[in-house]
Amino acid sequence: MDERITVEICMGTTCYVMGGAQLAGIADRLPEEWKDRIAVKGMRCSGACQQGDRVGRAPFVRVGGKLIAEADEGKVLAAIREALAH
Amino acid sequence: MAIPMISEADRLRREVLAYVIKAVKSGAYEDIDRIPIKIRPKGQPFSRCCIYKDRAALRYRCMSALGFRVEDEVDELKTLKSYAEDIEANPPASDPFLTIFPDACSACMESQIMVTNMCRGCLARPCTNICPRHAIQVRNGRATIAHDLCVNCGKCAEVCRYHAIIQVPLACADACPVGAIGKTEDGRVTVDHEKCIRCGKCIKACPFAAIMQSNQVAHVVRAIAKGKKVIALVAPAINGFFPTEPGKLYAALRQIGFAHVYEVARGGDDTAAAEAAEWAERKAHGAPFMTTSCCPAWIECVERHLPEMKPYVSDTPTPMGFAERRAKADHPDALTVFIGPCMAKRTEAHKHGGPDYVITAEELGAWLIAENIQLADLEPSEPEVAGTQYGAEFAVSGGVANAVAHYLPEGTPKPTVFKINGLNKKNVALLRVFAKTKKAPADIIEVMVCPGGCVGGPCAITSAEDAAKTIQKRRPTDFQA
Repeated sequence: MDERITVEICMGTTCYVMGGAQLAGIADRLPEEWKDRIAVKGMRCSGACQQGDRVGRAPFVRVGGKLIAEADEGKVLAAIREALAH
Repeated sequence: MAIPMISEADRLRREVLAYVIKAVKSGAYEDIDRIPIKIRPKGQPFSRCCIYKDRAALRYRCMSALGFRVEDEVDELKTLKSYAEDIEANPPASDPFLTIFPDACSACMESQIMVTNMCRGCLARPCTNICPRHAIQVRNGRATIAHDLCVNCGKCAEVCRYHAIIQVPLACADACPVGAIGKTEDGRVTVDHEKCIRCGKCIKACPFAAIMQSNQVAHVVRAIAKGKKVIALVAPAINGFFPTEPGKLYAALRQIGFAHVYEVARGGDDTAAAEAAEWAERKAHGAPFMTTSCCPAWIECVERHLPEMKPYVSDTPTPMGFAERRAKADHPDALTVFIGPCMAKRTEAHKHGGPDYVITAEELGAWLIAENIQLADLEPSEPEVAGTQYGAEFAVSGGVANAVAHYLPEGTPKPTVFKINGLNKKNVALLRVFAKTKKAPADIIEVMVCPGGCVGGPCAITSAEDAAKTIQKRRPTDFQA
């Protein structure tokens, strides 16, 4: 079984325009020692951007199944660090 | 490697645009007055001094998104709903399309070199030795700079072992390639529109987003809602900004109501072919060099700052110009909308009487958000008019010169190329030298005011590097770079 932690970057239009575009290349920027423990992939629109009334909550990223709103590089890295610690 | 960044200001601008577009499309204009409260609800965090200033700034952001300039405000109590109603009868604000909300300006201090209290007044004192103006002295155990002598060269900051000397930038003025930014008496930003070349670098640079642009998307949304036939002229850079093949984006444009899609890349092919013929002829008449003409901010720079360069600038129309001509010839009854990452294209369209509207990649992105369109789910569709890869690479630094070389008449020797990849104060001075001495280091000077080319435009969605990669990945096997 693949025990890597998945990092899913939403490639839906809203997330992409609201900053997901800049997160798409995060795989290349992960620390060396994380690289074989993390699997980065795109995900289809989860619909999260349509809940609530603010698109400002986008972009969404899912790290190890946990959804992060207003995701940026720092938040995603922190979530990975936490997931790795468990 | 630099991490490509999107700022909170970019996100806020896109969010405002998305809500404004949604309300304009549905006709629920009263929703627009609620946008500042929706984005900054009470009890939630704010970014400026208080929530009320955030909301006031957002109100002006909505006003500019609706196509009005802050400077044109007559009645501060005029509702955003009533501005939206004005769209029906009034065109969007005209050139200059920059608009400033002075109360958002933080009145940053002038760009200067400063000694911080990390200075230890050391024995070595490299700062005093390196200063070419002898502007630094150590007094009371700390270096002090005589600001009347200092020329902001930054050498002292480089040599200080403690990083105790810093260069404090003035973001907007440092970004401006032509010195168009000034200050009011109380230190707030002003733009001299006679000097401004419409490049939009200051909009991206200002950390307080005090400099904005008046948008045109609301007018386009209204025109489509009223059943007008509207043609999208899609700049090649746009096809570097979305995570899909171009056909899916064209399908999205049709879904939001555009009647036809024209690739401006075809106009790029037309420009390159005409410019190649022009260069061959100029060279035969002994011209020392020629600059490209497709970048409208460069054209403004020549008009306003480098008149001596005029004889060397190509007379060939831009890709947008060719695309506009073709679209209007095919569909005289239609409205045309250029979609690109550029601010200055608005000024070009204004001067040439077309296209009818210019919207940015950001405005298009916000529109797709407003309509909740998932690009990945769409069936790709073909554009009415398509360009080649040579035309498509007009969006990337080097691509214009490469296309011109490709279209040269048989037997013409390949011209040498000198690239200006992002205009700044230094290379403006260099270009002036080329014009004055009638000598340049190459046959063709390709000038792109934005770094990376159009893909690095002020209204882009992704980083210039990512967009360039996306575009260049589509090269057919026989493409010659």
